[in-house]
Amino acid sequence: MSSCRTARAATRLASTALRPRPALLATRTSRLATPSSTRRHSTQQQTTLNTINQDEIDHFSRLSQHWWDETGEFALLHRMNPERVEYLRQKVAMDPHAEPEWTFADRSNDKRRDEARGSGRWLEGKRCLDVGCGGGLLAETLARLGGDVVAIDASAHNIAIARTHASCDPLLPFVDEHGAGPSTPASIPGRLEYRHTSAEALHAAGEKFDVVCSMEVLEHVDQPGEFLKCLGDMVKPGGHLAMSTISRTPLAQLLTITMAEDILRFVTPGTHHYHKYVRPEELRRFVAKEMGGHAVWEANEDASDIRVGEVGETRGIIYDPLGGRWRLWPGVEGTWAKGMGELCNYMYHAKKRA
Amino acid sequence: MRRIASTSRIFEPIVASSSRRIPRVAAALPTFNPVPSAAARRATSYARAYSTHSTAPPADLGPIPSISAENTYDIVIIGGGPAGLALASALVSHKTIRDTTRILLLEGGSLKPVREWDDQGPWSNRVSSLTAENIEWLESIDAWQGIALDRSRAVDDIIVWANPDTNATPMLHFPGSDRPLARMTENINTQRALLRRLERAPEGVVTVREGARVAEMRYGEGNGWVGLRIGDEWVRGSLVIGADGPNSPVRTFAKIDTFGHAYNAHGLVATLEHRPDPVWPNHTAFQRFLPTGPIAFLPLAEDASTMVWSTTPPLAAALKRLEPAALTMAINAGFTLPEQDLAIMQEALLAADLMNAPLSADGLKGILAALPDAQPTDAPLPPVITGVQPSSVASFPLRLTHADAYTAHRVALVGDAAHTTHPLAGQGLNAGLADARVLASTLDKARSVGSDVGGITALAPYPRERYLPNHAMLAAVDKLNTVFGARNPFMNWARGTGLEVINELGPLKAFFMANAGSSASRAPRTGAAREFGRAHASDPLPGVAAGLPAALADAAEAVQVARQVATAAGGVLAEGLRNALRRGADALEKK
Ligand SMILES: Cc1cc2nc3c(=O)[nH]c(=O)nc-3n(C[C@H](O)[C@H](O)[C@H](O)COP(=O)(O)OP(=O)(O)OC[C@H]3O[C@@H](n4cnc5c(N)ncnc54)[C@H](O)[C@@H]3O)c2cc1C
Repeated sequence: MSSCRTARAATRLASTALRPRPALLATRTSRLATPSSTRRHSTQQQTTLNTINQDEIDHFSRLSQHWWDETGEFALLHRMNPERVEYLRQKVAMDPHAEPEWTFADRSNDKRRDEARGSGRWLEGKRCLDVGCGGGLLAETLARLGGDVVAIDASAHNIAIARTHASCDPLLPFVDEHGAGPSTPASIPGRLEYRHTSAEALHAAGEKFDVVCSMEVLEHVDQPGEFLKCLGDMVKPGGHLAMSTISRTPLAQLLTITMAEDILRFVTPGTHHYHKYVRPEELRRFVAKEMGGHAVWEANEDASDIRVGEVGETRGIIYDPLGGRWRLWPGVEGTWAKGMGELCNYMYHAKKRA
Repeated sequence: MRRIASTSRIFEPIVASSSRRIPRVAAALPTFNPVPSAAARRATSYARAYSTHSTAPPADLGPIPSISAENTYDIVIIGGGPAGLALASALVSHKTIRDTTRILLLEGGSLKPVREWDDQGPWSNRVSSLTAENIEWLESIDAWQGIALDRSRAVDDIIVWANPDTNATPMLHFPGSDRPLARMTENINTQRALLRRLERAPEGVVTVREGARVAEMRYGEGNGWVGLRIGDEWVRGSLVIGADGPNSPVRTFAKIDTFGHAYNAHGLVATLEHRPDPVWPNHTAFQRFLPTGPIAFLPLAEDASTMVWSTTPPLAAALKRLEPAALTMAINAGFTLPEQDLAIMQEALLAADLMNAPLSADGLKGILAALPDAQPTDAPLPPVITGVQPSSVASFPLRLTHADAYTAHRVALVGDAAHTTHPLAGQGLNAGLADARVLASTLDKARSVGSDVGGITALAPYPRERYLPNHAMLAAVDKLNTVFGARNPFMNWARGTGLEVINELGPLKAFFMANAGSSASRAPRTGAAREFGRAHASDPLPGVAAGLPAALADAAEAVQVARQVATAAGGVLAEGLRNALRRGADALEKK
């Protein structure tokens, strides 16, 4: 129990009142990538640290419950997480570029080698960045997979909640804000560190990562282009950039704004702005044009992909209400059928040349 | 009774307290009840203690002492019964689990008898029929190879009948194929094979601790883990799996309710001795439905079989007190006498038992001799029993229970902890093994994407896949028991017609068998092995035009038959009947 910090975190949380709005279709909120607002929070925190108000503690306990209550308002996000990580697994663990040389001698072992690559702690030894980590849903899974994870969020509350939650799991290789830890045995690889900072600040500090993730953030940032360049720059040669976001289509508007915000009120109205959504092809073209194109990024390994002027792969991710889970949408690159899956939520992946 | 109730007190879910915790915060954590006030806690404890005549004072719940990394596991399985051992074996057969997960299996009793079982010696009375599907699975996880095969008897045929009156013997016959329908296997045989499988697992993946009865369970701070107290020592896990049997302390801890009802019946089990039959090798299971419940004869060897006689608790008690020779006689009577005569015998047994003077073999012989001459029935009969192994005679109460949920935060239930059923279908353990199979692959998938194995989301596919099939099985078995137990002219006619219709119509029966949950019926088979023309309803009818005409004929026939069967049995429990009959095949296949 030495590492569990419910009490301390609650105290810290008592400083401000900002309730995250629930998510539908995996839309995380309160992840403003503007460092200025976050700095304001921390100073406020300093001054109000001692005024512990029981109502506020209750309030923030409820708040922390929202991120991690798997049956509550963030249930859809919890269900999306395994499928997002499965996408990462296909891209990072099963990366064809990292495949060992194929020889006739061991061709009979193909299946076993594939199994070995995609199983176990497949992020072991990989430095990962989660930009906009929220309560730490993705960051924890990356750390459990052996990753050396730095997770950042612009909201001090989110970071506090994420730290609290991770500190209560004795099997997570969690490192606290003073750099203490992990207290897990050496046999458990990985490292999980939360930082209250911005992608731009990390970038300015010259940090590099094998895997850079940013899930459901792009649609909230004011300058997506600058944001993307910043993320792309932090990917080490041979590393991966993976994102998820929402497309700018009438369907997405219907589902994520009209239904989720205005009618069902699952998400606080004003969370999403239709004009901020980015279409899959816009994303692929931006990386091709503005982020170095194929000189910097590998061509999509899908042999059926013959598109020019586009970099990386987009992949639809769709909620299946009958199965109670999200599913990655299949299909051949560049076809109408594959595009259908990308009309609302989708994943993006690109690999940097070694 | 006493043990159960007192555990339920100890297993109250309580968030671990700690000097550093602010109570209000813990109270606001999701899903779980807050810590009750000490006074309220004591009051409930006393109330329970009183009702169970336990004099133990309520345990004072101090903070959980700090638990070392060594004692911190990803998965803790409670229960070293067949379900718990099967789950552990299934888990280690998955690569990601093997590479990343530390598993602890806790058994309250000793596993020494299991480990040292030498497949000689007398037959155990805890025998289960394992379906072909489960055997295939046990093979695939590398466990079946540890089975003592000469102690696992193939069941090739199953014969089920009832004779409500002397001139009617509706009967169902499930003929064998080139693979056994099931194998009668002692639970200890299965357990030993599973334990050996675990011993072959790589070092450090599974720790088995026996004599480790879990006395207390509590959520750790922030609900990040579950602490388990064994004696004075605490261990913890991210996920606790209750494979701890029908009175599951884990289920109580997780506050998962159950529903169901007790069958007003006890199952009397015994090992039967008989002479080897030179013509008919002992590979046929028999089950006769009596008004008081089914009596089943299940082959173990050429000269031994096991019996499950489900009957009223007083009669079960009376039978249990009989001397072996008298019991032998009573069991033979149970398989052969007409129902009216059997009723007379049972009256006499009960009366004598009530006087505390159980009938002797001679006394029983006298009563049977005085019965009116029995008409020879055309029922197929099991071999005549020559004796009963006295130490094998036991009885257990029969219950239908189904947990409201199989999972809670950091908790999952498998096997009898999740469901218990009437043994007439022999599905109890088979359902438990299927649970283990599905839960293990669910956890493997969760692990390969880094999920918290104790999370509801990670566990969700398990109940999604298992809850409804288990529920359908429990309901069908329950209804079969009702339908076959009832004795009134209408039900007799309905039951008789229903069974005969099924029996006469090969294709329909094949359809039943194909849905019996045994992949034996789906396995490729030689034509000669089948009594009926087709292995599957979808196969073309032999000698009949294939293609569309055949398909149409099939469809018409199926509709016709379904209607006939439904009408025949109809009126009774309308909602589930067709389902029950379909599942009936499942049932009949076993006992
Ligand atoms: C006499 C008898 C005959 C049966 N005959 C048949 C049959 O013919 N066919 C059939 O299909 N089914 C039969 N059943 C049912 C079948 O045995 C069960 O379905 C099967 O045993 C279930 O296995 P399990 O592992 O779920 O539970 P169990 O076998 O009950 O195992 C539970 C284990 O958990 C352990 N445990 C419990 N509490 C704790 C604790 N607090 N700490 C540590 N360990 C604990 C117990 O010691 C036990 O070993 C029979 C049952 C009985 C009692």
